[in-house]
Amino acid sequence: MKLKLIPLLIAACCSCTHTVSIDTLPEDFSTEVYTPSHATGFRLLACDSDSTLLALEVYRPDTMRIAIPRGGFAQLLCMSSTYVGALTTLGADNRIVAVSGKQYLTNRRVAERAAEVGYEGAMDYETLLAAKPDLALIYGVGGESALAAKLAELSVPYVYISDFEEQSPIGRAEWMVALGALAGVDGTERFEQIRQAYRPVADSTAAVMINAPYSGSWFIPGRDNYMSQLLRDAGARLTAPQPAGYESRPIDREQALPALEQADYWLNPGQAETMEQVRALVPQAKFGGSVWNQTPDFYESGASRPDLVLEELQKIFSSSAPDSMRYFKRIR
Amino acid sequence: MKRTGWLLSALALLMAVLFAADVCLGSVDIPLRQVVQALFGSGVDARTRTIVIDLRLVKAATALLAGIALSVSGLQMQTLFRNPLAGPYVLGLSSGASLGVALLLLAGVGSSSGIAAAAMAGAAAVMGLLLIINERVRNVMTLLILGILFSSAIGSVVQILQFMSHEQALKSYVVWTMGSLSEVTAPQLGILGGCVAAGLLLSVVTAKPLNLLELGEVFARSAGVDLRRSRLAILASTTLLAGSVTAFCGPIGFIGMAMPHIARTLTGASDHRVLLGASALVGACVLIGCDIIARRYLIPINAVTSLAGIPVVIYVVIKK
Repeated sequence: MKLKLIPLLIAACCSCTHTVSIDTLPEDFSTEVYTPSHATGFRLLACDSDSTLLALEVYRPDTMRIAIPRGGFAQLLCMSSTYVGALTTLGADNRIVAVSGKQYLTNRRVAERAAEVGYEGAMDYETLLAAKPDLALIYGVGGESALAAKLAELSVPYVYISDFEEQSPIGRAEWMVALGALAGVDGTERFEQIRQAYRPVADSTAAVMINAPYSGSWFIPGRDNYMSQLLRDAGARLTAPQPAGYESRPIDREQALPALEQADYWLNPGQAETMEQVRALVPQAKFGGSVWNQTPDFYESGASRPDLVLEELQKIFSSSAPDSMRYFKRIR
Repeated sequence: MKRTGWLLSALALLMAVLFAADVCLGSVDIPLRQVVQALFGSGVDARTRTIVIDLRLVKAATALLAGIALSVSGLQMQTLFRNPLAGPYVLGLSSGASLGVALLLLAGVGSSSGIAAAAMAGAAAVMGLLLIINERVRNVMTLLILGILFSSAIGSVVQILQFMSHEQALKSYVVWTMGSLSEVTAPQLGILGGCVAAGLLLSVVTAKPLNLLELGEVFARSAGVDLRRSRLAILASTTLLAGSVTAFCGPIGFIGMAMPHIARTLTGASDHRVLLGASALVGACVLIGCDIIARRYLIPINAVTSLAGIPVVIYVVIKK
């Protein structure tokens, strides 16, 4: 990891004019100023003629580079709540002017202030334009986003933020450096604090079952999956057979039921909110452990705070957790 | 005949009013005077002009074309198969398009133009297969049964692909199946317009055979209709009309099935020269109306078209 970013961002912010006009072309940036230590989807580059000017280069779904104006983009549209979470972690959430799915946001400041632009398939492009974003932060699932063509037609600049493709919890959190640079904030120090606070345990002793049956099938995350890594680092082992790779694969109820009965903890049982509803999911199973579900904030700031997520998981597995925490709550 | 003329004129007027309303109404308040100025190119800022021209006008035109295309192709299918519950997707056109999109998303190359191309390719492949079969079968019911079977088989393959796909790709696929008029860009609208115009031209040619086919294949043959050639023209027209709409907007339900019945009830006609025009106008009016509602409440267009179309289908089922 190269930490040449801090002086550059300080210099950029000192000369901040909050203009979004970019005179330099993306091709003019070739000096690497930040190479992620864990993330695999981006890097930051400095301009050859003016080292205080930065560009973000992302690799998914295709390689693209976007020049960042001095002081960062002043008005951001976030199509994913994880971008809101990362910007909140960096104290840059005041730059968010529009979001998708504000009713699900935990950050009330953003929810009250930002415009709602709808979601893929039912976008409100009029409200999007009225919010005047300088940059749209979008995601591309399985390739380019359907939004991209329309945003290009409307002359709204966009960049893909593929944090969700990182399977390493630290790698996913590292995208805050990219998001910070776009907002004119140095995220390296904050990320470094979070990275150091993320302390995995060596032994995996807690027996855990995860997810819930859906139409007779139970989806289990692959061994390299983000959630699997978090659980392993928190000292848990999944009792269900896990597929190789990172994708989730279904197992049959015949495999799932014994796995559930062997477990001491059951995480993320879908929409269930009471133990009665949990038991109704698998009436045949004899499960005597504790059941925990994720809170909405898990999908917002959880990605940028893996240290806190890990800490809460470790509390759950050491039976010292209160019933309600920031990212997990117990189902009674 | 005079009454029909008045009715078609009234429908055309209603369509124009709804089209204007679709361009004037939106989530951003723009005074009517500015909307008119934006349309005729002076005195408004670039953002207002973009909202009116690039968003509202393109979307309203998409709704107009899609409504016409689905309704006309639905009428053709209902007459061809002499089945009041047939629609543009009865022969597996949407299943073919779904397979193309599912394969594309699973392969991880899901751009909007790629999705449109994959949907069109999938729909064309299914219709191409049915056109080949059309050359070999005598009875149109055989074609219908084979179409339904292909549709079911393709649906099963799509289900397997969905089951195997990861959650993000699955979400993209599900969003596509909900349909959307808002993602169509101006260049795509040009392609859609071309396909719909070609499909409508073909449908006009099929009006006379459709009139005779409504009385049964035996009668149509004895009246000199070349059944295979007529079916070929009808299927090609449906592929162009419904295939292009599905490619750019996703599968939009119930317009094609329900609107021809409203056209029949309103006109009382059995002449397809009248019914094609009336179906096109009713389809356009209803889909533009559905678009206004969908945009007002930010809900998928398919949810609104289903709610608009299902009462009509229930009426038809009870009446028959």
